[in-house]
Amino acid sequence: MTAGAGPTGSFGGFVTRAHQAGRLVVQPRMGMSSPRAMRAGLLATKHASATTVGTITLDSYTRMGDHHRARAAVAAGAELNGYPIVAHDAATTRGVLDGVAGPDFPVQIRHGSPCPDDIVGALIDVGLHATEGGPVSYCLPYSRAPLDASIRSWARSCELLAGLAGPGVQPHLETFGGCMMGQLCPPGLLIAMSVLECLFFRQHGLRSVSLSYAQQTHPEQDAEAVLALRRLAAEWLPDVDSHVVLYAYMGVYPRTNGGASRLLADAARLAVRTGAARLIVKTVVEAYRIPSITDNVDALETAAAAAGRHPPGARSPGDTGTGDTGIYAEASALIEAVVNLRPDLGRALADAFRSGYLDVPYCLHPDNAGRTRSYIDGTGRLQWSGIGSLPIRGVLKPTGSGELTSDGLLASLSYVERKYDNASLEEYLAMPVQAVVVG
Amino acid sequence: MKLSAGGAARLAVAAPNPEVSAVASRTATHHRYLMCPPTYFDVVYSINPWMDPGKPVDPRLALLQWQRIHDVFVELGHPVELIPPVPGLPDMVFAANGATVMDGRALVARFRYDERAAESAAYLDWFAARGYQARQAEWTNEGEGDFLMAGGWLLAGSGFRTDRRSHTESEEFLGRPVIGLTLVDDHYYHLDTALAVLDERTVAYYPAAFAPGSQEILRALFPDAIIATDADARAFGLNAVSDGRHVVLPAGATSLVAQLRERGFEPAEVEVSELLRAGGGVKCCTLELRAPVAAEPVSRPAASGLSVVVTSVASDSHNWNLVYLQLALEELGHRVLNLGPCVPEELLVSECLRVRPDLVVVSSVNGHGLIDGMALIALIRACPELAGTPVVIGGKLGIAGPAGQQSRDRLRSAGFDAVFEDDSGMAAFRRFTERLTTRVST
Repeated sequence: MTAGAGPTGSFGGFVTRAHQAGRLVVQPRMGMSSPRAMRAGLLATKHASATTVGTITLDSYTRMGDHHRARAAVAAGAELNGYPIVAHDAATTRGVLDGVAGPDFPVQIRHGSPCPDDIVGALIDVGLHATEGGPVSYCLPYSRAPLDASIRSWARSCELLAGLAGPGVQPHLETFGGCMMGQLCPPGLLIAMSVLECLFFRQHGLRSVSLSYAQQTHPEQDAEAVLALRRLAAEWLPDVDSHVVLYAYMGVYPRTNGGASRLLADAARLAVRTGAARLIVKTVVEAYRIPSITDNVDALETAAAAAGRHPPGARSPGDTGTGDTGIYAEASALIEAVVNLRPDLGRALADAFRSGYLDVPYCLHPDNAGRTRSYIDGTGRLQWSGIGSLPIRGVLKPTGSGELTSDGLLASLSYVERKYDNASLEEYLAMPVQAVVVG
Repeated sequence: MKLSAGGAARLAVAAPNPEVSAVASRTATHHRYLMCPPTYFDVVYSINPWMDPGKPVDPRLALLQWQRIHDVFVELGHPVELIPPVPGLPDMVFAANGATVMDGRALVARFRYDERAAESAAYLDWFAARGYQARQAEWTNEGEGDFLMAGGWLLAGSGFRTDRRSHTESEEFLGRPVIGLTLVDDHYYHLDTALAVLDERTVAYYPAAFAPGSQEILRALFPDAIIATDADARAFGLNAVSDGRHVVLPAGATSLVAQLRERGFEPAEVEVSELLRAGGGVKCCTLELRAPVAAEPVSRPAASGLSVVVTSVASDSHNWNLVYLQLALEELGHRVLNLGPCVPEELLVSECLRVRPDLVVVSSVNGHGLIDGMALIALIRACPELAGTPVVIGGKLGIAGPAGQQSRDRLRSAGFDAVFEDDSGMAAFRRFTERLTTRVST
């Protein structure tokens, strides 16, 4: 791509081709406020020994639509926690992308805005065409914006993006629906949210989407969830280009290097054995600070190496693996209940939250009913302890009751961290003294 | 959780008139009812022809009328259980619509209109907590609004609310043969507005509310039925609850009352004008809990704790710290209104003015707690109504580790009653709420 040129390429097409070639695409969550650092980060990502796509993660002022404060920070040379794409003028950002972004290295904007009109306008201005989000997943967990407002804004933004489609360009949108609060949301609801948001994107004109799922607490449960998500994508989105993107664990991250690396490697292996095409990585410093470019490249290469050691495509969506615990049935029931509410998916989503057909456990947003509860059972799987009005009573397999106490909540939130850190610590203690001292 | 025992709201009960029972051989049987106080009752939407959101409702009068129905049942010796009302669900007072209950099984409603959908969860939780085998209907099903037991049959209405497919589902779940009846007049949108079950063999109904085929079925099943007049039906007289002898019904159904007396029943008329503004009467407020369940309800501690508002600061989008605080406070017996993340200062102030909490807990972990906390407390203390409200702040208040003594002093002198940080903070916070509870309750 050159400065001033229109958009070219296809984010979804790039990932699909890599997937067909048996390569897992890995991607960082990277965002720096200075254009120079951002360009360096993109270049480092591009040249990492892995099949990569680029990320520009935006800062929280831009995310909340406070471009005034973002501009003030840029003018003052202050560091922000991401790239302020609206505050920087289009020429500056084109300079960041020039010679870096293109059909061989698609770049995606990641943000978290419930009302992304300005952001989508800005990314189109600089020649990009891939982003992430969704009217529910970018609204409920991290804002107080009314769900209705987010739905309207995302509908407009989808249509703007979809309008870019033309010869050589296929705009792409990834749902963040597979993350919802990062922790403690049972997989059936996560994958249902992913499918529902992608159906919303399709209704507003997009023809290339990705469905997300965030690694949770149990590898077999996660595998069942990703396979179910692929099966649902084939059933509900047969007429659009789609792939599954896996997020390395989004909750409290291990504090030991060993624990953090192992968790990331497990995510990569999960992606490969379930047929996910892309993985968003986390770094080993996640628990402490904002990762550097080097931290990010290390994470990309760790993930790619772990994926490379694992035979790809081991399982197909029809294969439910070691046992069907009902994730597919639960997600299907949720999706069907919502799409049957109204033909307009935006209104259906709003109605679904109003009536508690969709209800994210522990989410405090005023438009979330807040009557569902979940817990981690004795085997490490996420389970429902209260389903409120979720229309899944007919398909839910009986589980124990695990009403969380405040102490139980803290223990659950740190379950993955402890599991991986403890394993790492045991390994450390088992090492010969010499190695420990040298290490 | 008995309402108003000995309190000022206690009303004279419209006692059944003993003189008219001379001819009667009617026998009252023991019943148990579930009711929901009309705490949040209002008419803010219209889902039946009786509802006009333009006409104001008198909440005090509605409460008095509801209380009277409740007290009549208690006077007649029928225990009444209460389900806690939920804010924002104005029609939850119409408990009959919440479920159909039989033999320890509760088939919980799936409401026709979104406005009432959220009631189902409250009923599911209520029944589940008391050991019922409870599940929500798959198809639209408005509980005893459309399902009434008469003889061995489950009379089941449809036409406006309950889906016919739910008739089959109810038959299967409750194990009773269903007689489907089709309603045709939208003023009588539920079966219980057009038909009253008086005892095992006797019903009263308003024929014009039913389709011709359903009228034929009713004639065949209940040849001795009491036939209500147009005026009886308009007065909502059929929205009645009978124990086999006493019939509690809305006042004004004169022909129906006379016929009931003739047949040896003892009518007890109660005024329901305010409830009727939402299209509800006596029966709508009353869900029958058939067949007692052995397991006693799990008793929860009485609501004696503090009313606490939990909030973040405007720039903080973290959730889990707030969820944790809510659980911890609830475990200590307090009641929590959790405003969630990213709360603008003005919203916090207006919520505090509305709720008048015993305690406000501000939690922030994004490092902006000191800056945002100073702005927030100034706004709260600027309201004379909130000048004395205890307000505390805690979490990770500074960007670089704990905020330090100087920062804590600044926050306290700006008006916070206490500042709690990270590790030892929670124990100190628990002690603080204990002292406050003692202070508030004495």
